[in-house]
Amino acid sequence: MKLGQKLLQFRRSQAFVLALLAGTMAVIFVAIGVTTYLSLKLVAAEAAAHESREHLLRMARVTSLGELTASIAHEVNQPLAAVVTSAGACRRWLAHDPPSVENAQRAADRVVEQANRASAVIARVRGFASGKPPQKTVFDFNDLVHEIVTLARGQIDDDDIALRLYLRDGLPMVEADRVQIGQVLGNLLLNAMEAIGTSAEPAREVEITSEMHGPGRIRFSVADSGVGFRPGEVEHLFDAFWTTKKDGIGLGLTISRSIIEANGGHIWAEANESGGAVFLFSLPVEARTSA
Amino acid sequence: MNTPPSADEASEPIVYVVDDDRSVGASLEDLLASVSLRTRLFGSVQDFLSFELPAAPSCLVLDVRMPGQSGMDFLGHMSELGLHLPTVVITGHGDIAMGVKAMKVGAIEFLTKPFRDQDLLDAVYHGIEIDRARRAREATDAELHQRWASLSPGEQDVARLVVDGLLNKQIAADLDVSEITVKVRRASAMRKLGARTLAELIRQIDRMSSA
Repeated sequence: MKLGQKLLQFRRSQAFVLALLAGTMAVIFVAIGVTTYLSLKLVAAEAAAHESREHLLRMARVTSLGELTASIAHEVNQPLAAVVTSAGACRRWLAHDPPSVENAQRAADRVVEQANRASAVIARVRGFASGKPPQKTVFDFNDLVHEIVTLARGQIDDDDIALRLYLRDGLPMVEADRVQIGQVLGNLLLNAMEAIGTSAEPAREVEITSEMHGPGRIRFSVADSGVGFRPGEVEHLFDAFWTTKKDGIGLGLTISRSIIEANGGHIWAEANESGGAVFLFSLPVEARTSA
Repeated sequence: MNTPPSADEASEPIVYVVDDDRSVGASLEDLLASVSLRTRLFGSVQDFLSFELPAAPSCLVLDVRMPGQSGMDFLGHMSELGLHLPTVVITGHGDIAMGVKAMKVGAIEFLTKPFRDQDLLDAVYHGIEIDRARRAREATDAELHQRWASLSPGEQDVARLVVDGLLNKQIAADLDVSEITVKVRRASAMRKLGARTLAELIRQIDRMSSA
């Protein structure tokens, strides 16, 4: 009976850990998606000369979320399995006659060690989410757009998409986390290409613009000739786990919004007048120039 | 449970644990040791395959995701390799589809980490019993074949016809020998096969021809 209660308690504490994990899941996903993308993005930047760029871009996409769910579960369940198993062993050593205290002690040590390992995993995962403020630098926004477009060029050509750039010359420098903003650009560009891929329209066009947006901000937009929005969809676009894609997870835009907002900007979507969708975001320009 | 460690190595059950996570492996080894089960730990399928398995009743505890060959993939190829180990599949990220697949390729149990220690032990005990029964069956079959081989051709002929339901007189006519000879051969065959009754003889020969 007592044993059963203990077991129940143990299961509860385990449930607590899992609940804790589930609670931070959305944030975790966002963070990990970002981090993975960022590292891949860096890799991409470095390896661009050697590797096929569109492949990297796609890989960043695939690796970002779907497989990470499994990875996190795996990472946490390993130490949890060791904890539960060692606790079971400990109990059994103590039930020996006479109790095998030394063995029980060793098993208990392993319980502590592995519980700490599990909590370290969670701490690491949460560290991605809350710990790091954007690493803001001052940079030329249009240069970044060119970089991302170059990265996606192979896929743009493969998909037979006409890309038009309307980048305003002489824009003030932007002050934001360059790598993070690069991720958002890549994500929006990929979304646009996917929207065209699922559309039956003969037009296959993506239009990217950058311009001033009020005195202290620049505005970026990417418009596609894809499927566009159905009524009621626009309100949910940025919701976590909300998607219209067959294989989507519904976090790309959620991640994008958290990044843009963390960088002092704003992101939104509109219907494209000629069909399709437009995604826009604004970012603050360098403090010195806007003053 | 109370088997002293000095017991016959060959008959003492052994549990193989293949998991690349050392902590999981070590805790499993400890749990199994606490119920007096001996364990061999392996970090990969490759390591396990290079180990020469003793002829003891065994059970395999196999992790799904490992560097190199995955546990699931290995399980699917085990019978091709002539391995008939009852296998308990454990995984850190299981879903229904994976469980179904594991059972389809022959796992006796599918447990997701963290599993209850009792569930694992139950599965392992069950696996050992399955393996023990298989080994016992194989040993009996081998012995039976050996006994059958010790019969003279004449005795084998008589035994076959007896099992077919022929009377001594008919057998004698069939084989063109005297009825006395049939009786002598029949008695000798029964003795050599260790069959005390006709029913036992029939069962043994049936089993041999089905094995």
